[in-house]
Amino acid sequence: MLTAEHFFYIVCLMSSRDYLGEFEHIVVLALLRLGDRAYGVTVRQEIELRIGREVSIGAIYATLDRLETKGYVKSRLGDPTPERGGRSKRFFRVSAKGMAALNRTHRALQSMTVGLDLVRSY
Amino acid sequence: MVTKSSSIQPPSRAVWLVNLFTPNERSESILGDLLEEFCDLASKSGMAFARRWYWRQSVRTAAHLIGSGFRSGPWQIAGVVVAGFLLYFFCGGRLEEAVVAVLNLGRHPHDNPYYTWSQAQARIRLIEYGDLVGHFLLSLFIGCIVALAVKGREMLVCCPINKWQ
Repeated sequence: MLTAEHFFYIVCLMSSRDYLGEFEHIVVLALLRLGDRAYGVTVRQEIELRIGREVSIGAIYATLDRLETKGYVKSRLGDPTPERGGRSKRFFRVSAKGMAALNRTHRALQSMTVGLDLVRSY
Repeated sequence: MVTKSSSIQPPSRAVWLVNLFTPNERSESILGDLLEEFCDLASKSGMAFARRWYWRQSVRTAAHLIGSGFRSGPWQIAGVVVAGFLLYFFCGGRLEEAVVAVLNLGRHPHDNPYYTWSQAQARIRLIEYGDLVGHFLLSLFIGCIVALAVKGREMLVCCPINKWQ
């Protein structure tokens, strides 16, 4: 029989096994590709360049906010620049927790695709 | 070629739209990013193209910010919207009546039962002003409550309440 302690342990275990969503996955990979240059504009352009889909800056920030709340991403404000009307850039980087979530997601996807001939199937 | 100068300005209504739904802590980076890309596009592809791009980005950004704002606290937002509706429903008429009563204070109800035309007009104006002032005070009161309850996502709550008015 499940006790309250068992239930608490299962909930903790499940929350620590969080996977990245589709767009979260793409954004985290873009952050890794860009390194120190990762802020709204470069992330948006990188995604547009790689996947060929126009993405809104709102979608990028909504995802980055969610990732930051989960602790997968950290941000810092840069210096204000004149070409941005005196506004500063917010730079993002992937945290250790974010890297762990990314690896977990990759392993899950890899194990799900083992034995599937995706190119021949479609 | 267009240079990056203060003469290149994005559509002001689009900026207003983004500003309306952007949380304060994010507005600087989002508007800055949009302006940076807008200036870049204006110099490469022309002002008309850049303006179209800015509008497209603004509308989609506002939609995403509304969606993410609602997802971040759906019960809290739904609760405040319902509370706002109830406040309008129960307090709306009463507050307007109270304001009319305050405006009527110096007047004895049986002073002059028969109105002249100008008196009747003055009375109608009084009721209209009372209605307007009451409506304004109630909106202000509900706005303050909403701002306190859902800080940073006021617009999400105010849109449905205003639609109902």
